[in-house]
Amino acid sequence: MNTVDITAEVLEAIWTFEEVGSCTVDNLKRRLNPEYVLDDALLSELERSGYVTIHNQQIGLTEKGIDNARPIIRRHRLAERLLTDILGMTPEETEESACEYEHVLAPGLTEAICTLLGHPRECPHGSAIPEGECCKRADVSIQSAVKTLSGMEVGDTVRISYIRSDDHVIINKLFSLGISSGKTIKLRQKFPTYVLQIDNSQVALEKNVAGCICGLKI
Amino acid sequence: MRKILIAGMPGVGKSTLFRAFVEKDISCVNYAGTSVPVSRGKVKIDGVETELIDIPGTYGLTHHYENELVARRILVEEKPDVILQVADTKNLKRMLAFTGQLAEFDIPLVLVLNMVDEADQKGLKVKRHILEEKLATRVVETIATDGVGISALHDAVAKARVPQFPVRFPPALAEAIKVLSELIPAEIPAKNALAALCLSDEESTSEQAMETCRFTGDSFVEAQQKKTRLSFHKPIDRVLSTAREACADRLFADSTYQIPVRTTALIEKIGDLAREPFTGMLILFALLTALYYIVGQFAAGVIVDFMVKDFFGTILGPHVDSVVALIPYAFIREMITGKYGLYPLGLVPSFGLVLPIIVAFYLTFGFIEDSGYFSRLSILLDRLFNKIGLNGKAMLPIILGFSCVSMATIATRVLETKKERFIAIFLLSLGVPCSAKLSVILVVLAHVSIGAFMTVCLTIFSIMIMAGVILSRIMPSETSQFIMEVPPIRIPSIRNVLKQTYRRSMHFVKEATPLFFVGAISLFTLDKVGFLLFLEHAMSPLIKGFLGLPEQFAEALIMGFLRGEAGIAILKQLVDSGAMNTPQLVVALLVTLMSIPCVTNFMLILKDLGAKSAIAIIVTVSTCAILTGGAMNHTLKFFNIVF
Repeated sequence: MNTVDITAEVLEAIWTFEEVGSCTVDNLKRRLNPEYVLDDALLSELERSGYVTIHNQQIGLTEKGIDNARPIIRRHRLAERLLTDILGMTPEETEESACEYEHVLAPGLTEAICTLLGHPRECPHGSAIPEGECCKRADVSIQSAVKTLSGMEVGDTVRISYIRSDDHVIINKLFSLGISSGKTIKLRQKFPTYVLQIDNSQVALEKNVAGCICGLKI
Repeated sequence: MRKILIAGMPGVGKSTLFRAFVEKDISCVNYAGTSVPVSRGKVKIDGVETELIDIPGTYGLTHHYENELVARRILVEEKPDVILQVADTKNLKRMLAFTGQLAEFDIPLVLVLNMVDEADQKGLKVKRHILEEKLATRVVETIATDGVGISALHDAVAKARVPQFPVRFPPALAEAIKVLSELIPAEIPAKNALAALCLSDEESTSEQAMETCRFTGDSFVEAQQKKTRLSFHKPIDRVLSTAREACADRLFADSTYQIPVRTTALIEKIGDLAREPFTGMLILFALLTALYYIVGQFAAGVIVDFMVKDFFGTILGPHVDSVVALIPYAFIREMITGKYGLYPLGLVPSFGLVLPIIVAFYLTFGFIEDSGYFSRLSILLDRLFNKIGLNGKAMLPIILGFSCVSMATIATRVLETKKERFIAIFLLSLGVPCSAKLSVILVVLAHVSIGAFMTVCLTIFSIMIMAGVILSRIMPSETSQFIMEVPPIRIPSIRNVLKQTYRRSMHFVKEATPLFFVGAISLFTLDKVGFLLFLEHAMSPLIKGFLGLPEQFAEALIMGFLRGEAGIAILKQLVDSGAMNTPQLVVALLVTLMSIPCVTNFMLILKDLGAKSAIAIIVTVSTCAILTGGAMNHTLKFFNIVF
């Protein structure tokens, strides 16, 4: 494993620690050893290069560190989505392959995958996927495989990939009716209101809500 | 004083239950330092003064949302004696997982299986005794909107126990909870619950729990917390809830069974067609026509004619007269059979006129309701409702308004935003005639032309639409999303329909008929002291001048305030005696229908929306009624329309 890869792993690990709190040198070492050799020499090397700052065992990303970590995190989490949504793996199974993908995806390919998946905002584990240029442009140039229900036809059977909404009331309500990622539904009606069949029950929802449900036609 | 906390997830009917339960002293203030409204009320249960506390629904107790924070604080700080966990029976499995979480607080709990009727519609049956046995506490079935099961709930409160919930947490987690709970000072209750909360991944939640347990800064506890969190790959809250869900699943499987919904392929097909735009409208039209013939023609024509003319007139009438003739006091004789007597104004209109029609209406309505049709109608009309600031969810309360406006006002509690509730209640008071009012209208209009009937209907309908559109524009927009489970369509159960009809009809007999008698007595008294004449003269410019109606219309208004249909029954007398012609009847109907809601409904609005909104509604609605009536009067005169 060369230095560049270790750097990437370290930055990625710090990013994930910082998402849920802060990162200490101990935590970081525990996470990466023994797979990678993380010694103090490497850490001070990273600090010298301006990727991280270290104070009292607390280690944090600098601007430069964040800029370098963002695309890695993005590639990793998009890969997880690709593996679960399109290839049907469980989130647990994706980990190893996703780690490989994060090093090999070219920028153009990353955007293509992101568009194919309908610009998801969260990975299957619920962590945020950093936004890319394609998300800001909301590209639809490639036919997205994962679409919202508004893009589906009556009679389509859809496996839900994720619910795209910041409103926890909507997410909770849908969840309570059995509509969550991984479930399979059938679209029964689109006008005047959407009607979905899930298992034995039917759920009616308005267009805005149907627009939050993203899935893959199967 | 005993304290009862009403807890549960959003939309399970907690507040409806609270209002059905509570007797007096309702206060609703935000919990200190938050924007979470907490309602408190008092009720005597088994002679014990009890305070009921109602909090907004929560999906759990571990999140940082204010609702859940308040729920946690009330559970720990106010130490309620009993928790009433209100559950939506048709989603019992999820509700039981919440029971598991509440059980950790070591407080006696009664599980309230609300909306059993809806679960029944889905074919889900609960073996209540088994569930009681497993949980080792009381389980009560209710339909809070109809007040069913409230008395059973009274009995259950005293017998509530801390529920048994044999959840199996992973050993490392169970151990951590045990260690922490043993460290909590003795005087602090709910140790297991607090220990679990200390381990929560939501920083604010665990910090608050740590503070309650006086753990803040305790390095041993912090080390335990850290160790436990690191030993699981998933968030601790997720691990806890997965274990509770597993236990809930077992309980659910043991205590429920599914019976197939009674349906056929044809009925299912009709159910599907009922929510498609074109066929849906046809089906709606067909149902309305059927309703009109059954209620408007058969019940309002044939049966009412028999009851009023034959039964109360030629059969019972002479006997009453001969019995009354035995009374030596003319005053009392007049009070019973005179012009404003109890017999012609109280007994005959309530039992002869209104009761037969509403029974017919409740029966027909019950059949449609029990089939699951109304949810399809919600889907069909959702978009139209959007135009008046509501969504398909408001369909049910509005439809229910045709059964009883007061019941419908209670049912608006299913609406999520204040704006939607205000609009729905306003429209209900403005123009939706309850079955009792509807029944008298049908009788009155049975003798006039279809043109007059359509004029009344269309005017009221367009005014309601206009009011809805205006209100939805001027009120600050709070949107709620239309997400609704659609119950399966099925063959209505005759038993359910009969039960429901009986309950509703008895409700009318108990609540409404006394008011007919009160109204008769009031008019009789007002007449005797001469005030009635004075009132009629005083209101003459408005009634005679502006509305072009005979002065006796004031009597209809007085009766109408007690019960709308009693007021309209007076109109019938006016028409029958030739004091009013058809155009006048149209104007009079518009005013009585739209003006004042009956006393019961007014009290409900007052309770629900507060004095300011209630008065605003009444004033606006009454003004609207008078103006519409006046405008109709002048229009009809101007074009010389006599129908």
